[in-house]
Amino acid sequence: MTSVVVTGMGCISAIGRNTAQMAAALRAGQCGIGPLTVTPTDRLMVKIGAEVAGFDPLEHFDEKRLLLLDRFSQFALVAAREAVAASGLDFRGPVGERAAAILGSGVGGMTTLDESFQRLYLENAKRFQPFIIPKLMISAAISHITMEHGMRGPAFTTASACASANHAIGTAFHMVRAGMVDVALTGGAESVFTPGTLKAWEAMRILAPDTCRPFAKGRKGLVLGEGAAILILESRAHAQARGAPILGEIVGFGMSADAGDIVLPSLDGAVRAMRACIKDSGLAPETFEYVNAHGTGTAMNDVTETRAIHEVFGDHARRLAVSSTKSMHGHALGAAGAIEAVATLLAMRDGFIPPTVNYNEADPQCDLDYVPNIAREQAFDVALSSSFAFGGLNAVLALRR
Amino acid sequence: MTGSTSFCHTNSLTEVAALERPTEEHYWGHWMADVEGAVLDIIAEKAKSDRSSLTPQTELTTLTLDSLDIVEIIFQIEERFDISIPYNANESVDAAGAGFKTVGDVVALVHQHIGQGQQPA
Repeated sequence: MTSVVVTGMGCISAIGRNTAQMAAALRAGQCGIGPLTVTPTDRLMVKIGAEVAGFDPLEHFDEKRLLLLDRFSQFALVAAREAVAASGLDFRGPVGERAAAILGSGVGGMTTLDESFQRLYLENAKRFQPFIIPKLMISAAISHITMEHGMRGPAFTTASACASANHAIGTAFHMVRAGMVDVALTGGAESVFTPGTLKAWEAMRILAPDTCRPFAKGRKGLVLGEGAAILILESRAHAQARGAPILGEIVGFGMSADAGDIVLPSLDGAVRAMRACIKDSGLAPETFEYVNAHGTGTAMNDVTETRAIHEVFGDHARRLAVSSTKSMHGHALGAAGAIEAVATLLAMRDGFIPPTVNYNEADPQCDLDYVPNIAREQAFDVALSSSFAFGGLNAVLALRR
Repeated sequence: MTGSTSFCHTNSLTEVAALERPTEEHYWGHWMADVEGAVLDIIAEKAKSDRSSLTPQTELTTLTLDSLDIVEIIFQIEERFDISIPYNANESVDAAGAGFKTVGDVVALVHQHIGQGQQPA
């Protein structure tokens, strides 16, 4: 079967504007959660988030182009530029026709939607700026990436809430593996720090008011994040033929649906997605060394995910390092899986296990090795990266050095 | 579900405003009873329970309420009394942490927050 390698990565999140900054932050256990500044918080009960603080779009785009770029598209384009440059590919040539572009997003252009509706309902605006629709559509980001880089093959957006990016990456991986395309640009992008979106999240009563403490006792929920991460996938033969840098390999992808509750996680669904992924990789469960967990920091997810890891790995679960990097970059929803896949590949490249920060006290119901607070200097070759979404849509990736 | 309850704001505010002017002791008694009555109505409806079977001692876990129902109940109470209850669903696994276990605890919580709302700013 075709081996699918990673030849470029890009990332922008609360813990770094690029992959170099992110790798350093992960190793340092730097927490990117802080007071929200990009949106007014006077009417919010939860006033923290993991935002890309101080991001100035004019450093990346001119004013005319910004009329068409929601914040989530801006993040996607910034991450894509880094990934494409790292890969050394020029999609404007023939390779651009044999290249897929598949991005995940949970909700797309919420910033644009919220601002527009505020103008309409609060300010009684008589008309909108002309291109609100192509700016807010959930596929806007990937469309802009194809235009900027000349990618002319299959291109679309996947939406499965918090698993969107993993569904995108997994689909891109399978397309390259099947020989449908030679190259794929994939990942996820999200930006939800708007008054309306935050009020809606707040109403669910699952946001932590203090910080994100995955798997720890006294965790109070998730902390929202934002950003984007992009990976360039390529068949090994194609990458080797052009002497491309090989940053890692995608070896497996597994999906499942809980067919259960719209918000409560399911043990069975998580177990089946992880098992399907491991089976797809053709690797024995005992070869896995690290799990980048979904680890949202909610009471329910972390217990259910811990039990699922026990069920899938049996005795080997005790030997796994399991961490949630959401404790540092927050829950970036439709971008989460991509940020976490990049985090896992960076850690694999640099020989350390990213920590679960803010871990202050053990929860008896969460009894795995969560690499608390301090990164562990430990080389590893094989990892899982899990996303279990609202709506019970699960997607898990297997990554190898 | 929410459609029938989300936009009853005007009525509830008017009613609460009327209730918030007890001048004599027996009015207080009325007012306390009305708060309890409204809370029981909301819980009974969500739990699909007979209203008369609920007492302040009834434990929420004995009712057929899932986590979505609890969040909906809190929301409806907040709308009904125009108060904010700092409830976090992550703490519902640990009933002590959530601050309420019984129907009576919910009523007490509402009284506490209405009381806070009456404090001059």
